[in-house]
Amino acid sequence: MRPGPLSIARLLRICAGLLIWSSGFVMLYAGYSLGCQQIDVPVEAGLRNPVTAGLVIIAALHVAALIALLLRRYRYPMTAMADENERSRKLHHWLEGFVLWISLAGLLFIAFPVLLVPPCAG
Amino acid sequence: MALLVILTASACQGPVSALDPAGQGAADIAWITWVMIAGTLFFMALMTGLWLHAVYRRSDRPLKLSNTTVLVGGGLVLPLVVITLLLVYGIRSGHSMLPIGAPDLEIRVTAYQWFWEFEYSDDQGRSLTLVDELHLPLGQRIDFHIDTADVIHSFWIPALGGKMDAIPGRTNTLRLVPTRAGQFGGQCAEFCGARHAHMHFAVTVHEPEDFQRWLDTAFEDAP
Amino acid sequence: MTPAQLKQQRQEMARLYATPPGWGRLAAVNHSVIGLRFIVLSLVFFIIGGLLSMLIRAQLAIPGNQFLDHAAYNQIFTMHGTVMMFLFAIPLIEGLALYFIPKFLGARDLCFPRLSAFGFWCYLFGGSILLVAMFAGVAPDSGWFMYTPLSSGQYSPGINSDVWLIGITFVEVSAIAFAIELVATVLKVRSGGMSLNRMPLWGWYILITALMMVVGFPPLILGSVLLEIERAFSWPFFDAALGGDPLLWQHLFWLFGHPEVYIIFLPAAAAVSMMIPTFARRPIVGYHWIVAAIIATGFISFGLWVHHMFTVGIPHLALLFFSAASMFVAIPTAIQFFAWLATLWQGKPVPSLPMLYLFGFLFIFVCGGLTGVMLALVPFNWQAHDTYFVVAHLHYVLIGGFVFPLLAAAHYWLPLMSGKAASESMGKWAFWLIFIGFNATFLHMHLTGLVGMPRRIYTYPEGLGWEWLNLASSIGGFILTIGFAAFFLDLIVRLRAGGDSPRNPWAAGTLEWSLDHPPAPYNFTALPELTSREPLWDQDDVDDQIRKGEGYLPDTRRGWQETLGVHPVTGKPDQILILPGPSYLPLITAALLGVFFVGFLFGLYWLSALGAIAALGAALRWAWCNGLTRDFDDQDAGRGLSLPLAPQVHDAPGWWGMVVGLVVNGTFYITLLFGYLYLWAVAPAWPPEQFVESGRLAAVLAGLASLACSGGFHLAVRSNAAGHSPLPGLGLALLTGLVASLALAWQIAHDVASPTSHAYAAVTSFLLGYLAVHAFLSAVMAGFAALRWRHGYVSARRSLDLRVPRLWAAYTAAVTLVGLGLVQGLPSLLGSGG
Repeated sequence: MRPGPLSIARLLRICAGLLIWSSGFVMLYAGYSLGCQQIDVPVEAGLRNPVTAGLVIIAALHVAALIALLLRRYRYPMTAMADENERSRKLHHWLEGFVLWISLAGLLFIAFPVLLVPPCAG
Repeated sequence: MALLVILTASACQGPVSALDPAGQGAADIAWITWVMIAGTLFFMALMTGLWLHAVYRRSDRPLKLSNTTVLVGGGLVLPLVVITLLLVYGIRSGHSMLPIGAPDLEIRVTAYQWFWEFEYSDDQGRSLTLVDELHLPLGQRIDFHIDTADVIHSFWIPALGGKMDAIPGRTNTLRLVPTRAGQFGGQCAEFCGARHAHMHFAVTVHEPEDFQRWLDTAFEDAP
Repeated sequence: MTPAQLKQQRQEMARLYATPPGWGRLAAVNHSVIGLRFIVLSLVFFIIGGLLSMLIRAQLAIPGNQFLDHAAYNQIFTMHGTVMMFLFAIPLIEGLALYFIPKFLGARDLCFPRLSAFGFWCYLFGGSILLVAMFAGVAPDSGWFMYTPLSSGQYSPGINSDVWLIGITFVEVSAIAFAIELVATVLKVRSGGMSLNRMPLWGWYILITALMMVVGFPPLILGSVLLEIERAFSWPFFDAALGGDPLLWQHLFWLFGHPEVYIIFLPAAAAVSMMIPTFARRPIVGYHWIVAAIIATGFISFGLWVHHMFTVGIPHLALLFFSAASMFVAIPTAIQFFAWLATLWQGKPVPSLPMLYLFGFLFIFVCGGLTGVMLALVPFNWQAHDTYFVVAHLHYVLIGGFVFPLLAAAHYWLPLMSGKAASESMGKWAFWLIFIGFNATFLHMHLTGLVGMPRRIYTYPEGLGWEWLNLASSIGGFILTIGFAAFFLDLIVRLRAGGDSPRNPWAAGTLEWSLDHPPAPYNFTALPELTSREPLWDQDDVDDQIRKGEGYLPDTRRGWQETLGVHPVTGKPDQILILPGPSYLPLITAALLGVFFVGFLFGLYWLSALGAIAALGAALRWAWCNGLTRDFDDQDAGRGLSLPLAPQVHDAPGWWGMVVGLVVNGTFYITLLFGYLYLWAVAPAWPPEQFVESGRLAAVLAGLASLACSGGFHLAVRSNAAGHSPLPGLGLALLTGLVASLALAWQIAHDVASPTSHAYAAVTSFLLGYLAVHAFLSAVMAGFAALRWRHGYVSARRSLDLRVPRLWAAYTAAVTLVGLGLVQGLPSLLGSGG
């Protein structure tokens, strides 16, 4: 009987969306800081520059990952564990989806400023 | 009520008031401040009203709205719309205050425990250092290059715009554009030890010609 | 059972769970006793912090006031912030969670009762350091966020800053102990049938709060340790002239500091989510929405920290990421508010005193939340940052979002905790005084900030338009204080002279109201099987199960203190936990740890070293007491169920405790790597004169030895499971652990430049030192496990003593490989630095 790791997997799955959100947040911030330090991007270049392109790719990859998880969730609903009641399974399945949607919105919300200002100004 | 309005309006005046702007940045911020205060009052009234209605309503019947409507509407849609509008505005407004493009005047600011040094220089190699006293020309883009000799301080002239910290090992740049001539106050905004409270400086905004005249005389007088 | 049998049963249980009288009270470990001690002590600190704020308001009442000089004022405002955040708010939520969690979840105690006692002593001793310093006139005076270089040795040469760093770190030890204990308890120690979806919302809130503490406190502890080392030994982590960066401190502090606000708010919101269904007479609406909102808050609140640093000169787009996240966190909060409103709309609300306080919470916290959204707007923040606007905002958030819900909670749960009936009139007076006093102090303080008054000035001149604003705030502050005095007076009167409360006076639905008022030390005579979230509303048999001994573990026939362990998700009982009894070991260990801290405070490093070694010895002695010396068959758990004892199952609480402990440790390590890379990438004055020289051999040796150490534990576990002796594996682990720690120590001494020369050398030495300590502890654990095996604590069925240190050794191997890879690889990869 090894219920420990299994329940950790279930808890992680509920949080999957937000874990990806966190990764996106950290990578956007870190990638941006390092990018502007290593590459000299003049303000006049506007949005056509390698740093903005890199940030858009980072954001797009994370959005793609969230969409992939959402598709998987709708195609393969969470299965019940041994001795688990149906309401518990339903709750966790619902949570997984809701958290994924919130994370998707959150990721788009923190990423869209990338498309509004030249990156390294100020 | 009218008395309150008058009181509040008079309370906002002052040589160091962010709500009595005399600079481009400060005017922008003062405007959005009033908008956001209005928004805050509106939402406080809304939430208080909803709560009082929910607790003290006469009828025992549950509300007609479905729970999902309440949660989606109030919990998701309403805040999302408001913060999106606010963020887009903030991005544009903040961007406009950045030191982008060549400035008309550059001043080196060095913070010490517990006074300010302002250094003017021109292309003829003349330079001038003032302590706790700042003179600025009206309508020009002025870049302050801010540095510190000891601990962290923060350079702030509320009537002209936002503040900028002075951090050891770095030089930060702040752009201000005065739009009204007169006497204003500046001060250190980051706690910096014993005499933090006394780290004020005086700011005078001159008409451009007056400023040039002042600067020329000051360069002459400088040792 | 007959009533006579039942009565005898309860007497035996009371004797078994009793805290000894007299000096024996120092050995108390019962969660109700420890929880109440936390609550009472935190209230004492609240009163102290409140009096300090009165001094502040008295000084600021008029311009140019001579009442306090800057030396006194700077200590007072620093202590006010420090006491309220670290010694009042956090310990109060800890106390409430320690007291209530077993009662909400259907358990007799938490899973590590001695750990909570240890946490209490650390809190008491750490807090005492700060108090003693304050009365000696050497309290910290650099502000409660201790920005360096103001707090560094050069600009604060006195002992003041050391008091903060050491006292607070000592208190944080208790927060970490709490977090580990609560995660393990909420996941593992509940009553039968309480699956995650039937857990009261308080359980979810505390689970997420504890997890946030697991991730949130290590950055602060790391920052404090680094700053204290800088002050004591001149290792220049934060000194810009020598390759350090003062902004690293700000990142570390706020990486903790912002989540901390939510760590304080979530448990208060938990109390709201428990009270509202009771007064609405129906289950909460949107249970799953609230759970999602709590989880989302837990994550997103870690993406806000830079909004405390909008004016330090970080580029605009970086600010926007944090600005967006700071606004986005409003959404989970809005979800909770509308779930509460919907619950009230769907139900038949009963106005009551707690509901009045909840109205105060709603009004004030909504205002604080909205001004928070204002502050998240970058340009506005550039003006309002570090002004009285922020002071007003944070008091609206913390008093509205924390104090008001807990005032409501005090009235709500006092009948349960004390057995005394609720009263109305005095509580109403207190509410209106507090509510009016609060707004009269802080509402117009927003304006004080906007007309230019910065924080933390001890005096101000006339003629800036600040006079009447400050005077009004000071008057409001005194009304507020009178309100709190009335509240406490009411409380004392009720505890002394109140009538007895009927059982479950509010007709609530959750499990804690089925207990005696006040609860017995063992909480439940028998643990019920639950099929509902509100068992007192939905389950007619719950009372019978608890009171008539028809539930789980209904007797004391084995002479142990027992409670159920359940599957974390489904709530199916899977083991019987044996709880430890009263012990002086937590007190002794905490006191020895205190010797370590106090020695450091006074620069007596030999005393510190002795204290650390003695504390380690006491901790090992403590660990020795756990476990069983023979195999047991499955035991009767009541309701026809036979269950194994915890030391004989795979995921005993001890195993979970180690997993959570390693997450704490791993966060500390990741934060350290962040600091290492951060300095490399952005600190001024890089690169250093020399990088790590040669040292490949020692590095390879250390890496291989740490792998072998982990392998040794693995071997020991496998041979033990097969019925053979684990000694060869443990011997290997002991030996290689020592080799790894020696190789790492050799590297620090020979391959790294003097740590005082440059931040690079300092942070590299610190990293290698961290690894060396871990390798050494692996060796200690191997020796300890071998002794335990010799004394019969380990068998094929009782393998926890081997599996728990195996986790530690595997962790050590992983961090050693990563750390050495960075130390050796980065110079050649990024040789030139940033």
